[in-house]
Amino acid sequence: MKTEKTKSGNKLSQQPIFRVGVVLVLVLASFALVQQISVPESFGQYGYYRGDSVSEWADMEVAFADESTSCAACHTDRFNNIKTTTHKGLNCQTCHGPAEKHAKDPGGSKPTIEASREFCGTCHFQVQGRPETAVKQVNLDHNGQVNCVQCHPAHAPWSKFGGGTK
Amino acid sequence: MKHGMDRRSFLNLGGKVIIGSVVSSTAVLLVPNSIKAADKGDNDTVNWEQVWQQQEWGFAIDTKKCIGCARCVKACKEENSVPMDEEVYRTWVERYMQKTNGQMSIESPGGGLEFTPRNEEDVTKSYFVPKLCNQCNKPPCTKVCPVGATYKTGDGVVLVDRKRCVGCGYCIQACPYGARFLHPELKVADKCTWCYHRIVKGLLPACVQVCPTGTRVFGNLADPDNPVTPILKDRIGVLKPAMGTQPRVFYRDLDQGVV
Repeated sequence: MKTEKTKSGNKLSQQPIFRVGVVLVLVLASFALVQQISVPESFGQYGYYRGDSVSEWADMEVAFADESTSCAACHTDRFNNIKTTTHKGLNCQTCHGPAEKHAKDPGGSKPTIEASREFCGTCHFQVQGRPETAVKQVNLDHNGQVNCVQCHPAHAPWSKFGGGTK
Repeated sequence: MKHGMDRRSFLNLGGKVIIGSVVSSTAVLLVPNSIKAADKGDNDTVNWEQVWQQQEWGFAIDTKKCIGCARCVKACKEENSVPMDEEVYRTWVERYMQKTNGQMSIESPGGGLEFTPRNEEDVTKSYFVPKLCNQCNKPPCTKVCPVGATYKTGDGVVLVDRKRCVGCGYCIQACPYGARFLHPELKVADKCTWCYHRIVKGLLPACVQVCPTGTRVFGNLADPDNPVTPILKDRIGVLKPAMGTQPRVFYRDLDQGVV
């Protein structure tokens, strides 16, 4: 009788160590569960971040079109001509703004056309710090308040002064 | 008796149910992600490690050419949907003016969009300096993020995971160049990405594309014909080299007064 009692007391499930083990397994399992739920699937794919994030950035839509393919496809003459003038360094969208929407839907979205003195002055007014060698500059009262483009068409600024297309 | 079971057997049963559900669901979730992806037949995703091997982006700024027109600032906001009326900028243009009294004044009204056309008095030297994220080799901003939301890609661009960012602003504080800000609408950290969505498509960053004077130059340093490498040959400086961040926007003819 005595030995049987000892035997049943030694049953694994009745020993304190068993309960500690169960708690330990539970804690580890809960940790693994929470980790699996809260850490995104692609986290750690390339480093300590969510790998899918790279594709999310790469897939964003552009606003500024590639002028040599998009703009030049329809406005071919104008595109080729301006590249022979002093404005050859400009992108179409430097003045006309983002045009990818216009390139995809020419009738639906129109780029801006600005012809004010102030707009030309963005580059061409004398501003403290603007290097003289980099761009032609005029003071504010050059030729009164006449719009610059009346004498200097933006697509060929010197064409009315014997500059040909220049 | 009101209840169908006593407290002991209720707790006993409840415990077994909890153990069973935790263990079984964990077992399912512990299946490696690679096996799950294979099951989905997810083959159209890009392997960025292969893409990154082909490219290393480089950015150079020829400071002597900058005319302070800020077309870059405007284009950047339009390209990257940064609110035009808010005082936040992914790139901006600063004007440095050395005064006759020895003081240096630094200003960037409207990020550079609002320089007034006039000549200042008492100025001995003045010039413009375009600023943007330096995409540092050792970026301090990525290290402080508590949720792993900002990181450096293999081709050298520091990005922010907008789905993961909690907007705590640690990275904004950590950047020694002031290149980060809290996006006013999205409420996440935002910064220059060198137009990552453009450059991976073979386009130039918007600011480089619209720059009328060729101040900003961009290219893939892994391509022998890129326009950046010739500029890097001499008279090159970086911003705050003593910070140890190893910035990767290279300035040609950078004045010593620039901070």
